[in-house]
Amino acid sequence: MSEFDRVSGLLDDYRAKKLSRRGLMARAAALGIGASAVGSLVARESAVAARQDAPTPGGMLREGYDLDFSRMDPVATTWYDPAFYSLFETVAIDSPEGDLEPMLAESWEISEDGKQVTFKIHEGAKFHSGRAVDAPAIKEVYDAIKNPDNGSPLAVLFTPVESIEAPDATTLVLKMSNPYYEVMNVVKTGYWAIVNIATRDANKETFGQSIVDGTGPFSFKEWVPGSHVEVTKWAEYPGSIVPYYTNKGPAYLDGIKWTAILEGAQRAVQIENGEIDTLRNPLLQDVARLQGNPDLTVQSYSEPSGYIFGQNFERTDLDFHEVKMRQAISHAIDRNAIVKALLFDLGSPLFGPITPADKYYDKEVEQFNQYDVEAAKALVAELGWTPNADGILEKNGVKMAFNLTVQDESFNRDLGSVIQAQLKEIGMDVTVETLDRGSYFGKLSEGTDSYLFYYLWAVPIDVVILFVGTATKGAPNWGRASVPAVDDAIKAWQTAGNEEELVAAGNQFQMSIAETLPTIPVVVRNTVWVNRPNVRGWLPHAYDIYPHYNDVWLAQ
Amino acid sequence: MSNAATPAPFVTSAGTGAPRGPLRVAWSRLSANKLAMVGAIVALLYIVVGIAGPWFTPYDYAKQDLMHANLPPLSPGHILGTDQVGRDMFSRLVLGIRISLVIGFGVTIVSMVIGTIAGSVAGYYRGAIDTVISGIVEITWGFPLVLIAVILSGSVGRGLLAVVLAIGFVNWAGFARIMRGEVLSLREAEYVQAARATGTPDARILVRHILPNAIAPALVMGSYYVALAIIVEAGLSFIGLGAQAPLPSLGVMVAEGRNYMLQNHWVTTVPGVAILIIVLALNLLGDGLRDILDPRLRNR
Repeated sequence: MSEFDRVSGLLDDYRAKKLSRRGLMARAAALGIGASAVGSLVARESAVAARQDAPTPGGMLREGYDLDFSRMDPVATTWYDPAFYSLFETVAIDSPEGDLEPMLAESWEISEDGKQVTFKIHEGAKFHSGRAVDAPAIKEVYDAIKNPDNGSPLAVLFTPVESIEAPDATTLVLKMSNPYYEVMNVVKTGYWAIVNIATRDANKETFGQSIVDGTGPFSFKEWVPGSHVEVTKWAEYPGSIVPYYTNKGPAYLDGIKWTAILEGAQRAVQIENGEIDTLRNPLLQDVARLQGNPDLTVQSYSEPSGYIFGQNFERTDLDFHEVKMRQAISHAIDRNAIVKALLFDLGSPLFGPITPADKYYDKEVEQFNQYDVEAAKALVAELGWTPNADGILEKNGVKMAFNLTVQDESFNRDLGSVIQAQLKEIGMDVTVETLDRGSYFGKLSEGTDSYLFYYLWAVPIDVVILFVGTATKGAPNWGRASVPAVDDAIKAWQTAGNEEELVAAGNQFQMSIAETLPTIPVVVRNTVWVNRPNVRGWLPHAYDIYPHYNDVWLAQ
Repeated sequence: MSNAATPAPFVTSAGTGAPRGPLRVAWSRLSANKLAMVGAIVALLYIVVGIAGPWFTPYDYAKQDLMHANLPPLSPGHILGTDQVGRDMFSRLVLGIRISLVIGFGVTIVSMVIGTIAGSVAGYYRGAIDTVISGIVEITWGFPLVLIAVILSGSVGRGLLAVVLAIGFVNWAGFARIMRGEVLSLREAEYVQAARATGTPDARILVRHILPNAIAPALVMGSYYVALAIIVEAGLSFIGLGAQAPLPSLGVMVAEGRNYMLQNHWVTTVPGVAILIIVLALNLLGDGLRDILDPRLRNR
């Protein structure tokens, strides 16, 4: 009997209620199937069961969130949070299987030369304020993103888009200066979520803080920074055309409240105590305990994110502009040990810029950046650095001593401390500088010796480009990196006219980063979602960074 | 003549009638107080560990071994276990004790010197000088310590210097206040008036006649303030304003382990218990000193 058959058999017993959740976990463990894998299967089962059960309308979903909230203005925010997925919609959406599906656009067509995308906008959608969502309304959003005055942080991803036209109410045309197949992966993300620009323009100071006008199934209630965001059911929601949603009409829930639980250890405790119904990212050291709790379902999978370690190319006195120096630093980092000790095996080493779970991942990157202290020492020696009496590297009277700026968060602090210790092994004296979020980004923009950064983005290559390309030198290319081979690869990615060209460009990009290291990839963590058994229809999945709430209901 | 006018509070007679020095008397009283002796012995032990321990620790306090992280106490080679990045807890604890003691004693000694001078001058001269110094003391006393630490971190950077300056900035005022009160009452004593009448300079009167008789309460207060400084340092380090990684003050160690409380409690409990023991010991010692030095309690 294959493992698949055994798992299927267990799940059949579970569905038939011959086996409790605790029994399922125990039997699965006896078969050598990880709790995480079973958790995902059980979650999927619950979602399927939820579709079969009759949903009960009403109730407030309480979700714990591991970060503080950002402004709910897709055009200008620097980060977006789960509330976005209740308030806003995009033209297209990723299904749990990773396929692009319609959301506000019924369909789209990419021209043969890859230079034009024509969307057919679904009729009937409207904003919370009552305005119809038509092609001109979406054009206004995309124009706002392109307008530098609005400070859209990823507007550069729309650079190839020369014009946005809305010849009629249901047709939206993006015309590009060059083939840009990737544009579909751009417009499905939260920064391209559709808001009512008229409301936004009329409320410039307060939009996203106390006023939100989106198209999602929930309307904004309140945001208390540092505490929570709350939304309420929008009874007039005209419905959704997303194929994978079971519920095409208004939401089942009366509302959702996301609470920022910034003290890491508290997150697991709160879901164990039933103070919240769902949770994003407990501390990884708490995951095994939560997986052993029969009242909870835990899902864990590699998220489209990464921790990167950047050096300031302008510190030429430290040879950070030299590829050999960056390779030496990279060889000194023991990524596998970090995954084991700090991520509790809930993550992967990064030898290239993107997670191994990504569909564009190129395994060839693993020939680079392996842990090799002797190779690291040889590389710094080739550049003329020799250890002084204290074991610290010196060259021309300059000591290899520099700051590592990290954002104040427990994992960041631990990772900073590990990198500090590992670089000491090759004679580098690193001072970890821990800063709160505001000061951290201020320091990065003003210029720092080196930094640790965590990114999260549905299509990782799109965002990594911003940290390494010459075009974004300064911010968010905080290391002021400029590597011609990387710029060439970025150009190939941004001019790919079809999927094949995109894959080839993706490989070229990954290999150029892995070899020349404009930023040093370190590790990727798993995202972990936990829910209590009363939560039905809630289905986080690896192809989107947060779950959607249309199908969610609370069992009594 | 001035010497003759100064009372000698510790000079007394033993049962044999032989004169005894003040230190012997103090020791005799301290050794009779069992709790104070326990406090003194424990504090002494910490001092010895703080001074000599780092030379005998088995590992570098910053040396990580990720493949052996979170080992429990009594693991082979790691008597107190390892922390979340595989650093030896014993080696870090010993250095943490040194850092905490240096801050506790260092800040208190400096605060005591500054506070004693300021309080003595205010109490002796009274008038405008007293008003100004007392005003500064009141303002200082009203500053929230954490706020000062945050401001100082912004100007001198996070780290032990900011902690030392923050604690010192507030604690000197406590000594100044108590010394002012003592000097105010002693300046009217007959032996002080006699010294003044013979033309003895003010500085000499303060140093030779008043301070020796006024310093006892400050010494008692000092023992409490050492404990207080250790706790405050731990608190400020806990919120990230104190010692910076990889330097292990006791507060930093508690902070680093707090997210592992339910899995590897020793990362937090070991330094936490170390703080508890030294603070308790210093308080017991302080109580004993107060009993010895305060004449009102001496015969209880």
